[in-house]
Amino acid sequence: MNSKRLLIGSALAGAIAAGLGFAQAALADDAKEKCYGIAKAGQNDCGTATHSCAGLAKKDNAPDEWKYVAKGTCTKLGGKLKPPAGK
Amino acid sequence: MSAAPALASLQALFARAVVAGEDEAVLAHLAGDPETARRRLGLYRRAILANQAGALRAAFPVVARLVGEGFFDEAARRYGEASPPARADLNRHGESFPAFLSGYPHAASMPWLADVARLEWAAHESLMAADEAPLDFDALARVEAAGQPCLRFRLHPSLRLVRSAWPVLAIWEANQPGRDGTPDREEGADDVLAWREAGRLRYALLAPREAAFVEALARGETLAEAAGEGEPWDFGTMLGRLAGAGLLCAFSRGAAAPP
Amino acid sequence: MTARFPERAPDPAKAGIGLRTPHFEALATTRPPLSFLEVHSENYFADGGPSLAWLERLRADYPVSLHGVGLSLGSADPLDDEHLARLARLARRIEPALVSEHLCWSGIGGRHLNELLPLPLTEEVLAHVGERVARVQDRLGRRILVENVTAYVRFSGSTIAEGEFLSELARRTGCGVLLDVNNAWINAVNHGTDARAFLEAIDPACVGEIHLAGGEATPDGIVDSHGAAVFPEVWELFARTVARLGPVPTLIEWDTDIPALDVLVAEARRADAILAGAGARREAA
Repeated sequence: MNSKRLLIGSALAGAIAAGLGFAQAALADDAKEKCYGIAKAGQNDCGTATHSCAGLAKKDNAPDEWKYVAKGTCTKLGGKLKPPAGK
Repeated sequence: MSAAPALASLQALFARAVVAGEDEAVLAHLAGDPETARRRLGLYRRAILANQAGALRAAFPVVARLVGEGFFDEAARRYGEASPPARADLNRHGESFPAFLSGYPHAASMPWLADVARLEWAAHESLMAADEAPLDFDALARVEAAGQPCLRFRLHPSLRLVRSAWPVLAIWEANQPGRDGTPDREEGADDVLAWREAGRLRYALLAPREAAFVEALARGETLAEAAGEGEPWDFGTMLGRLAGAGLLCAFSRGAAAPP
Repeated sequence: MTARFPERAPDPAKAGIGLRTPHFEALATTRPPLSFLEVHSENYFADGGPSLAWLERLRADYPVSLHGVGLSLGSADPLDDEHLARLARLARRIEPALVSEHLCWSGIGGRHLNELLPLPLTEEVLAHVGERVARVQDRLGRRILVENVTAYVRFSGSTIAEGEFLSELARRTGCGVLLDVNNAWINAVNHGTDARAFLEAIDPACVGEIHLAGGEATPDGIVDSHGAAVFPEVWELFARTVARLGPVPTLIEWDTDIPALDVLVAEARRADAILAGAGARREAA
């Protein structure tokens, strides 16, 4: 219990230092963390689509096979994906 | 008023025509050539589908890329039937799309697809969440040692944690613009933290106990509870990363979570 | 409440453009002279985040028009109070020069259809829409503009011409009219009617804004796609309209296949030239 309390104390000290140095935070240095950027944020233009916002003129009489067989980049995953055991 | 039905019933007839294609009843109330009117109702029908699919495509670009256009449009159409939008704001239309995908029979061969969708929805919500300033760290520094284990935090509104049994982050990254869809790794049970920093979406892969720690803090558990009962581990690094990213927004001591 | 932004009305002798996300950065850095920027209100209903931050940043440089597409003014369903509350919150935050909606309905029976659907134009509907416009104006504490839509079908039970309907709505509620010249032209072509008769029936005093946009010819009629340059016929109608009304803040709408900012600004300049020749604003007799 004592060691846990010590850990909490040092964790908080670290957090306070990081919080006070918010601008120089270490997060950006971590290779695992990436910036997705503005592109996603920019896609809200059709959030309230009206007939001004989509392909009104398009007709879609696609055959069922086209609708039910996924034909995107999922083929790159090749069915090899397996969930690890125990999760 | 004799021939014209009241507004509510006329609109209900119109909705049946443009949603379900049952246009006979409303055609009786439309002016001009019935064949032209029937085709024009088709314009509305297709626009409604395209608008809803377009909104989903904007929120779920990786899912759309993974399954291709025809599959995605059909899934969007069926989702629209199962969960029709109740409000005008299509930015909120996709909330239950991940759950829909997890039960969509044609996606059964892609058991990871719903988790990719959950990750995308988390990002979508994160970008629309409220702005909030970090907590007062000088005040936090004044909390005496005895009170520290009982601290509770409120995390930033943009913070989202997605826990998956699949390498969802690898799949997601492989389907960003400029990538051909081949993931860097095919194994891993990804716990992904997403948040907004300086107006941009960021994300990080967490270790399982880090994810559990963040989850516990988000639930309002105390620092001691969130750290867990087992062998001591370095949760300080995670806490420091949250603080450094501006994700700790308020703290309280004792029984109640911060307001 | 203290204003956070410069109080500026759109310059009626100059055109504005629709603000779309691909142009955020270019607008903020190059700041081309434009009368105003217009957004779809619902796209900024978020609680926070980058889109709102961009809008606030650009609001410091331009008057902003909030153009709603989802209030469903003509629906027989109750007004969506949450939607209205979000609109009111956005208006408080952005301090828009103009707020507008459509003469249409978009949902019924609790299901939203995300389209601008046509209304039968009758006394009953005029009273209904009038009551709702008044409630929206009360809630927002300001005047709104109501826009004529593209109606691909019309109702045989309609008893009031669209121009008279809008003018009477404005007279009863104090709202203004957002005159979409492109919609007027498309309706006239699709239904074989006279766009000029519609435009001339509008009370000049109540017109607060004009919309111009491009469309697409399809086998089922001309579609209001907002995905192309303004049609020559629409430019001509626009010139006639401003000759009658005098200069009115005018918007170039371009929402799909969005071109480079230069192309949009060039369309706005073309409108500027026509507005410049329109002389002084004429008020109704």
